[in-house]
Amino acid sequence: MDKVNRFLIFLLIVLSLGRAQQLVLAIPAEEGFLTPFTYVTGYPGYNLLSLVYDTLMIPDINGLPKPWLAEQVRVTNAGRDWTIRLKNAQWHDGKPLTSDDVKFTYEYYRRYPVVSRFTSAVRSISQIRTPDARTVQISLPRPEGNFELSTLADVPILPKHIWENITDPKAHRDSIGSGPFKLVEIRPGQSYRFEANPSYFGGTVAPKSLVVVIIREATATFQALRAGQIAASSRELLPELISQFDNDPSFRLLRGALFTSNLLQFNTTVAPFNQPAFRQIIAGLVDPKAVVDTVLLGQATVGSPGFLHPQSPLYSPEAGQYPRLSLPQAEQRLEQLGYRRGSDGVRVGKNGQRLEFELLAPANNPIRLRAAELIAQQVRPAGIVFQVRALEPNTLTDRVWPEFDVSKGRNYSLAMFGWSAPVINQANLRGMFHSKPALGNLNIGGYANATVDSLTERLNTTVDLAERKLLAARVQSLVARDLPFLTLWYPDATYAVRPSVYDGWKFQRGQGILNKFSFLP
Amino acid sequence: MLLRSLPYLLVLVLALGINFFLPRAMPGSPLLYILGEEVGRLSPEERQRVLVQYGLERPLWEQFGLYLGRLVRGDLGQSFQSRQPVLQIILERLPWTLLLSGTALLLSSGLGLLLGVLSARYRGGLLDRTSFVSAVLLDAMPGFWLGMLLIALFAVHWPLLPVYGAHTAWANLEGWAWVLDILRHLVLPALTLTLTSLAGLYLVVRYAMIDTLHQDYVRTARAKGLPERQVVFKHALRNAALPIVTLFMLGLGSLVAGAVVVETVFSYPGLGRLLYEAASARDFPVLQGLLLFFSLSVVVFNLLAEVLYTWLDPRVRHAEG
Repeated sequence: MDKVNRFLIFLLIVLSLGRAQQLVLAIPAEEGFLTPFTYVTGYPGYNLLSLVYDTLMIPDINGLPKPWLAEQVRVTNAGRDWTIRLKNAQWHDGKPLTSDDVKFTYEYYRRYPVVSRFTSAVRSISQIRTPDARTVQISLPRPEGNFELSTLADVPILPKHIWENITDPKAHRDSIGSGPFKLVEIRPGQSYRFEANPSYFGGTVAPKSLVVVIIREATATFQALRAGQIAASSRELLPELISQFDNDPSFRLLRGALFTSNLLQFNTTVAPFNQPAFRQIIAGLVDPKAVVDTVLLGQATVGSPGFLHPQSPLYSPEAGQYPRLSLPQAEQRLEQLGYRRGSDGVRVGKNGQRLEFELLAPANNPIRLRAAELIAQQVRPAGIVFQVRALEPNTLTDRVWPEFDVSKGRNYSLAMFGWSAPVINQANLRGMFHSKPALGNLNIGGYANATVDSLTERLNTTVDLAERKLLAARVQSLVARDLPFLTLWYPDATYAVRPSVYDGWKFQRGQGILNKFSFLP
Repeated sequence: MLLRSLPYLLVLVLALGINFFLPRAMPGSPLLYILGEEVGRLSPEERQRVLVQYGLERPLWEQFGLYLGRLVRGDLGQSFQSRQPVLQIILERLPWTLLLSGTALLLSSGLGLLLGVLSARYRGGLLDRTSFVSAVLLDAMPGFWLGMLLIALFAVHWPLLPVYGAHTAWANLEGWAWVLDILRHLVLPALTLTLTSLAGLYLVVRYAMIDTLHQDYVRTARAKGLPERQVVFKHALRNAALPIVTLFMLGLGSLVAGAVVVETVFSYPGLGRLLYEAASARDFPVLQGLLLFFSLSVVVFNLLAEVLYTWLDPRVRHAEG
């Protein structure tokens, strides 16, 4: 029977994977036409996009910027002038990629500001000059400390000869780029088919053919992986499945850190969460390690109180660990703040405020939901009640971040929230912590600290890495003391792949296995 | 006939209003899906420009008026997300839904009818007992769970059938190979949908038939010496048909709901999944288009049911004249 089974599996793999050199990979949702104007998600959408398009620089395997389409990047005038020398690259249709394309691209994203994710990355550029076909000179009015990662390594270059006549960029369908893969077919809602670009400037591309299929359900994805109907997935394994795949010799597991953050977000503009002393008590009661061990079965890195991941380039050990409080210590501090237990055990303040709050959690994210319930259990003995309320994700975002504009206020006390990897990867501390809505556009808790404001402003105009590290360290120390939110964990991702089909995968720090380096020597 | 279709027109107009306002009553905005996390980096003026571009800044009534105006000209608008015409998106997915839901409908109604009649005729027998218990069990089973169970059995344990999709994503098959490929992909989702929608119909048929088989005219027919098959199918079933037809037409609606779950589990590219995707992305034009399509289908099926009624039941016919 076992032999028959094995033969059947073999037969099925042969049948389903058809031609050699073809890799089938699953993603969870449709990503539009996969142009810079229509892809949907930051991950895996942008990662797929970067298989078709190139950027002037690229975050390397450790997340640090290095030249890519550029042969050389020179910065002068204290971070205001950037001179970029281009490699000899070609578009998928054989035309050469020149400095005209770069200038056109950066101006095009500005011309259609409201339909692309790359608007703010090019917004501050004051001038672009092209002295010759392979040189681009970009001038900025102010130095930008993060220009390499947030612009040069982020903005996909478009072919001018295709896009110059397009006036509705979102409706444009064909995806001609310069990247390692050519997109050859889209079946809406079903699949994308790519072929290796034989004349890629970055080296020999493998496999020859890449098929990306859409499988909505996590469980179905891993069943398809086990059945050999796909060879890899953009999804990390669910913690409870890791050992099962680990024990199966037909899979190789790739592990590493992701820079996705998972937070217990306080609304610091309402009592009692406007008092740092109260937030510190909550931090002392909440045990992120217990959350990681129980809910994520240990498959995550415990959060740093300073927000940045321990493996990210600007992380500072001075952020330390969350100080734990024993129950008596926490009770004592609550008493000092004037919160006495009421008849039902829930504490009440001098002004009559009961320590009972709604903790919002996304209904579609079982891990965050379970973490919320565990946290509610952890604070309960001290006489604090968190009522967990599951909300449809879009509804939750609307309460926490109305109209995506922090100047519009906020409508919550506590929420489970998080940011995608680029926020940490690009160390966007000004966006996270600045008190002015225009600068602190991700400051959804309404945190305000004048010192943090000035430090993050300086961070944004400092190019020198050593100085950037010093500034970021001071910000992290202050954030670790003030605790505008609790950084609970960053997931450690484990991906299962079938090495018999393709085995060139590389784990990019903070980002996972879906990146250009996985398909290059 | 014209008089009779008036209420249907009214229902349709009402549905248009509900289909327009209900999605917009959900909290949350389509901006996040149009722009991704970039949305937080836009200035208020830029955000306003996006709203203007998508016509979302106008008062709701005005938007509704524009929508109706376009609808009259047969224009369902464009998807927020892909900027493709909504009609085209729906038509691309419609064949898959027709294939999956149509197959499941034929199978579940055929099987439900046959089993229901046989169960009633041989009440208390082995067939009746097993199908009754199975039906009650299946009725209580969530489609999602059943689908996963079938995947675990027929795709993983015995690797016979595909887990996802409607056809092989990269093969350019033709002729019979193409048909076979589509059928292989259809087996598990259609089976799941059939099994989860079978029970309701079976139970109604069974009860209706048990009821009619005890009527005097059936005894008379048997006493006349008519063959049993004629008694059961011609005399009894025709009289039991009214509740069955009603339920069958109602079942069409629940089939759409079931299709959302099954199409999600099996990543089947039909309208059910599109509905789910459009709702999470707050893609109002696609949502409106889909809901309009579903409302239209329900109205058309109801009209059909009425026509069938008159044909089945002389009393309805004569009451008219």
